[in-house]
Amino acid sequence: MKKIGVVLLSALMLTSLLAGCSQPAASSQPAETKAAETQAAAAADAYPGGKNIDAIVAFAAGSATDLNLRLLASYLEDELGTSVTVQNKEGGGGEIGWTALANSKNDGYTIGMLNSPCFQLPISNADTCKFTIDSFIPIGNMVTDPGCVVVAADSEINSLEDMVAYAKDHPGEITVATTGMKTSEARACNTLAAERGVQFQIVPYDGSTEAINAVVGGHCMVAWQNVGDIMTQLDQGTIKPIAVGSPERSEILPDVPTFAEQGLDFNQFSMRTLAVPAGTDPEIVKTLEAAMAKAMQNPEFIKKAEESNILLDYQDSASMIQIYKDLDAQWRAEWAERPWQ
Amino acid sequence: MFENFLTTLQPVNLMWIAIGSVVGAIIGALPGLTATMGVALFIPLTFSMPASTGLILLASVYAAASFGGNITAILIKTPGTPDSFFMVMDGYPMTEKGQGQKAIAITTVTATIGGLIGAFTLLFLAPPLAKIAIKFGPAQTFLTSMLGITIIIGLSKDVMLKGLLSAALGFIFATVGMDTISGDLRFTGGLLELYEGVPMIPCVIGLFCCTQVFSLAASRKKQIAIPDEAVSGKADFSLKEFMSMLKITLESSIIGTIVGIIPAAGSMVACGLSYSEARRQSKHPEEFGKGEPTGLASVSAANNAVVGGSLVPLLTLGIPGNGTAAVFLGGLIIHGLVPGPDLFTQHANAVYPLLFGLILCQLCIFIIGMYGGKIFSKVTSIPNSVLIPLIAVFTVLGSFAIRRLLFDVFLMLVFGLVGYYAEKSRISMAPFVLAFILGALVEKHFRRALLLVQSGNTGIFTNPISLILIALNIFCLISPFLGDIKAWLKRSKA
Repeated sequence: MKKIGVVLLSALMLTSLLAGCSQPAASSQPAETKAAETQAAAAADAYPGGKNIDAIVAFAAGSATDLNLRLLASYLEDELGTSVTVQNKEGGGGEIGWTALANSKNDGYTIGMLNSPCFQLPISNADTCKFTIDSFIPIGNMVTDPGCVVVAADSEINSLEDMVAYAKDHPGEITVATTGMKTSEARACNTLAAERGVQFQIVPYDGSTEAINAVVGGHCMVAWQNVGDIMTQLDQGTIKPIAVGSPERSEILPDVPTFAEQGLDFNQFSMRTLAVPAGTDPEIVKTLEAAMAKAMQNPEFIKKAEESNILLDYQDSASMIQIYKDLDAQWRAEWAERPWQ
Repeated sequence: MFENFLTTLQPVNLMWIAIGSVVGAIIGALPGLTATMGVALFIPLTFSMPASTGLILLASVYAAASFGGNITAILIKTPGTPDSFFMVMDGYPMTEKGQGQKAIAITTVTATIGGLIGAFTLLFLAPPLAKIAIKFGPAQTFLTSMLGITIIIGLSKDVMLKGLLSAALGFIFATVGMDTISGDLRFTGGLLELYEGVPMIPCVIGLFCCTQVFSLAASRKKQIAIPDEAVSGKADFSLKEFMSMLKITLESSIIGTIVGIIPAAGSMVACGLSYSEARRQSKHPEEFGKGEPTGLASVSAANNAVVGGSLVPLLTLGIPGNGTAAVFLGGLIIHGLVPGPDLFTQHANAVYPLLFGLILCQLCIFIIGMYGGKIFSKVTSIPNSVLIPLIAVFTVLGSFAIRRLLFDVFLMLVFGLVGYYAEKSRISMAPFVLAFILGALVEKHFRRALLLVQSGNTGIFTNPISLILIALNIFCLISPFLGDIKAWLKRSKA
């Protein structure tokens, strides 16, 4: 009896060892890939050929990006006829995961999710960041989530103007819940304060739910978040949105004016894009692009996404390359004018 | 309501409760695989299920994984999850005395009671309790987490200098990484892997599991302990002994439920508070940490009560009380269940089966623990020459699995060496872990509260909830010394 137990345990151990070790082997040595390119071209016809695809997400299991990717991955599996395994490589505010994707083998068996603010790192941390927009080829965009400013439902503040006016009468008393001092939300908030010559007290929270509940619980006056984060409480009627950060009004909040309409010249939105490392065979990129496009048209997928308040916004590979080029240029200009760190 | 109970009793749901409980318990027992990871791994599996079935499965995994860690913590001193390191303190000494099976029986019974109290609270009191939970702002959360830290004093009472040294090191390590308030990096030495702080799980695996590998190897004993039960043939856990623990178990369950409800406090605070309360009430507090069954009962009950408690703010407000609850929230949303007060009315057909499922899962845990206990406790008679390599492999796997970084494995090894030499010098690492995990929490909430004070919210420390919490803090700080003060007063009178 004892012997059987020991054998079973060892077997379990060995299988887990194998599962653990196959990973780093597949994602190392980017240098060798150049030599293997010709072989890769031949292999592209058979891609994916039933071989498992790893999908890297730069945030923890259960985070918004992780849930997005897990949902998409389950539909990509149907289109590609192979398994797509989500790998959480969290840490460093996402930098670890994005760096891992940039350095992974470009044979199409490692894909990953980029979050558009990741391309601010090569600008603000130019000396340490190990990737740029040229390190990836976007396959397609899944989600675009505009910034959103909310206050408690019974608040006397109804617009960014009201916020500024209140701050003028009560200097430093407006508390703004964000998800960090250096996030794009905090930058948007600081830009508003600097342009109107007022002061807001930013209070960083660990996550968007926490920040929004700080407003619901009356601990902070304003929460500066994204549209996708506020829907739960909006349905409850406990908060009201007063501004959105997209260039155009958001489809699900048509009555809420944009930052620009309220005189704040600042776009704030986050895109979640599926990508492969640079140098991946164009045929493989095409296969993945087609699979993603089909998955995102699947009515069942769309329904699931809507139920989960995921703001789908499909853009193909070519347009994403252009969008990231434009964003990069825009951020570099902003950085030159007023560095955000 | 009855209809929903019948939904839970459908064979398919019962099957998933059983599967979720068994797999959850295994996940919890393996070092490095946490309840958080278990729930995250099961979410994709629930995509194709009806909402009620999917959520029942996730809840079973969550509850069973919180319990699974107890088994390995008690029997081989390798807490599978950071939260179960409290079970090591009294559980492992019991195993060493040959009472492994009894310890498993105690942890099972008390964890089931704790889990049931948490689950029933959730079933009947969730909406009104949610109204209280949202009143907990940064100041109140800070004061609650502080309660967890005051237990360090109690733990270190007899060896104050070494205890405080260990805690001080824990606080120092807690400061590494990105400062969540300012967004600046602190003490990372330019290492990308430390940007979000010293990772908690490799640290805990190193300090406990890896240290255990070294000490077992150095001990030259043939096995950890041959259980007494193997000799006498039955677990020595009488009804009388159970009754003597019942009061503490119930109190700890209530503490666990309440702390679970408070957002961002979590199991660590709940176990710490229950443990110090059990010790304060005990007639022989000096036995705590040396294999005192009551100590084990209190932390087991509190740890499992947290599960039900943490689902209260989650289901009614969408606030996750801890990491696992945050992942669970993702599972709810994927099934189109948006948390909020309306959840209990609009989606009653999914939520009530979930709650009944959570209750039935406690029974599964009971069966696993009571009937499996006999088999599990044999693990301590496995020859060390087999056990040591087994644990060693799992420490490496467990620390690698979280972020898949080799860095974490080396970090785990370093902590293992530190833990081993600390153990040799009789420095307890418990204050270190408490300070390391709660230090970051306390700092964050305190500085957030200060930002609010800065903006003119001066009342947050003087409102009734805060004042009660401050009083509790003072009480917890001095309570370990009450006995000494009384003795001193008596002596000065005489």
